[in-house]
Amino acid sequence: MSEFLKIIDLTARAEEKELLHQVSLEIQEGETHVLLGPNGAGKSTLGYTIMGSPEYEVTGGKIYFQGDDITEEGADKRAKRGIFLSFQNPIEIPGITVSNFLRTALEQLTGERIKLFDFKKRLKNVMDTLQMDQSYADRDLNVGFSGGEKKKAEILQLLMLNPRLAILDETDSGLDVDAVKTVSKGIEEFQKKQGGSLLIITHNAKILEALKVDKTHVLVDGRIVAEGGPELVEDVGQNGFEKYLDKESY
Amino acid sequence: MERIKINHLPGQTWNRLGMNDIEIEKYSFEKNLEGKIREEKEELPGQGIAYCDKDKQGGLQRGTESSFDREEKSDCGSALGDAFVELLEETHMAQVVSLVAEAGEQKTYRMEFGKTEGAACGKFDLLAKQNCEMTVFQYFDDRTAAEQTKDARSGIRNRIRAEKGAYIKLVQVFLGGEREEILNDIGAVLEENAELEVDQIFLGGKKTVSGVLAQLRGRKSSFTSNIAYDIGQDERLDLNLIAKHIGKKTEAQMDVKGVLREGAHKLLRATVDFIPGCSGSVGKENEEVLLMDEEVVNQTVPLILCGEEDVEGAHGASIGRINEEYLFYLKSRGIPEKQIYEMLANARIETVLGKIDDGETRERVMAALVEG
Repeated sequence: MSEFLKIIDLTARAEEKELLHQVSLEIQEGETHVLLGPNGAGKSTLGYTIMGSPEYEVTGGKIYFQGDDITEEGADKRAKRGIFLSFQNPIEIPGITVSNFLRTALEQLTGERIKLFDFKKRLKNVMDTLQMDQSYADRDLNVGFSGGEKKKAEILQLLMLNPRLAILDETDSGLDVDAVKTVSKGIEEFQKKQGGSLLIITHNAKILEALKVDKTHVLVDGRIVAEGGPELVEDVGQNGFEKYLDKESY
Repeated sequence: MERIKINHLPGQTWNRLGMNDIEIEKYSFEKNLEGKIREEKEELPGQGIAYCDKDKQGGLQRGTESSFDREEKSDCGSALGDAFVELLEETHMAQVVSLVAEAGEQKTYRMEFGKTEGAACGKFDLLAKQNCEMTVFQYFDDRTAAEQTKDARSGIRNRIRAEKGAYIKLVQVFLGGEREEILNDIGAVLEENAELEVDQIFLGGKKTVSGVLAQLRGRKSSFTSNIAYDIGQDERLDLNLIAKHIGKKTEAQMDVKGVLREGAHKLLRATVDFIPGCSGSVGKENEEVLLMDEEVVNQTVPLILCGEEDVEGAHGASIGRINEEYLFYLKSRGIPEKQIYEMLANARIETVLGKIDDGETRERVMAALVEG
């Protein structure tokens, strides 16, 4: 397998506070990784930093994607390379419908004009998979959506934009049991049919049930303190993070 | 040339701020605006608006006589003010297009105006009788203006009366070109339970002065204004919205969304005027401005005049550039910053198009946006 995402000694801060300390992590193409950690550990910060959020300043280390150094690149360029971040709190975009937004984004990502008929057909199929009412396509993106609807809209974007690497930042939080199932189905579709790589930030093992997890990382105080296979998810689920709290970097 | 001041702020502020009114050259209108009118989908007989006397068909009356009597005409009021009204009245040849919807009727009219040389005016009287619904679309497309129309000026006045329970929706679309000046005035009187919705889109336009005065006389009458604009290249837009709450439990909601680029200058006066006795009334104004350039001038005077205690008035504004969080979300989907600004600029127009909810209007505006 070729080197896909490689993070070496990444240190990042926001407003003078260092939030990530020499984090190193490697994901191979097609792999699914899970990132666990207590609240405030820096999990979202890592996801946002990989995506290139200007909120976080990288003060050390490097991020490589498919062999290229992307540490200084803007978010739009990273997205064009195939990186996708599913937001924990998606932004409302008044005046731009879900359909128009997705078509614009697809055209930007592919650099090609998308035929309306083909696009609508594909959008309908994906919405059916996610059990989303077709009327959502004509609604302004995330405006007036419930928490669950916003998360579904994020997975809709994931499946439509078809990235190479998807970072899911607590996509399952705030969802009821049925919604977790639907979202899980979408993620499974991305993993199995589209062959995408995943970095899943979660507190909920339910969303991982149908997925083949390759590796698990535990992040505490901005440091990776433990790594392992899928059994680590179960261990944390049963025993919590207590034994990791005072551990040095892995 | 003599100059006049129009589009006055109802409660004056410091003169040095230059926001109380706007000064224009005083000139005479030489002719009527050339255009076409359609009722529903059927074009009315005769090419364009003939302005012929005593021609009454399908609720449309064209000629020098208005369907309003003298008292009713002056009663509608003017947002641009007396100086502008006098300018129009001095033009003896100026004729009136009167649109009437009889009680219980549903009427839709479309008017379109293209290039007109010199200074031309259009006067429209809209009368919605009891419990009727009247929708009027007015398109002013100046993009086709010929070279010789560079000094062209337009004066437009809509006088509106909505009787008890009537609903009037007036949609105006201004697609700017080389025209020197557009003066657009709306004065309305609303009786009990009557509703007025004014939706306006301004795309470009060298100098546009526009105002709406809605007099909410009847109990539970309401006024909604949705405005979107996108101006640039040293263009100027001067807006004056006045909701005058006279009757009890009247409501007004004024939303203005816009984009300023390349040295554009916008001034918005938005006034909620609670007259003594209008208890239970609610008046709100809201503005969103996207600044695409550091050279733009964006001025706003939100004004709430309160002569009554039992009322609710509010104003809000969101002005500036797009915040980082918003920008990051859109960038993370592969959309570059320049494209995001364009997309959000169009979204402001799109929001108002959504409220207008009309295919033909959407097509016209979207075509203009695509042409840039």
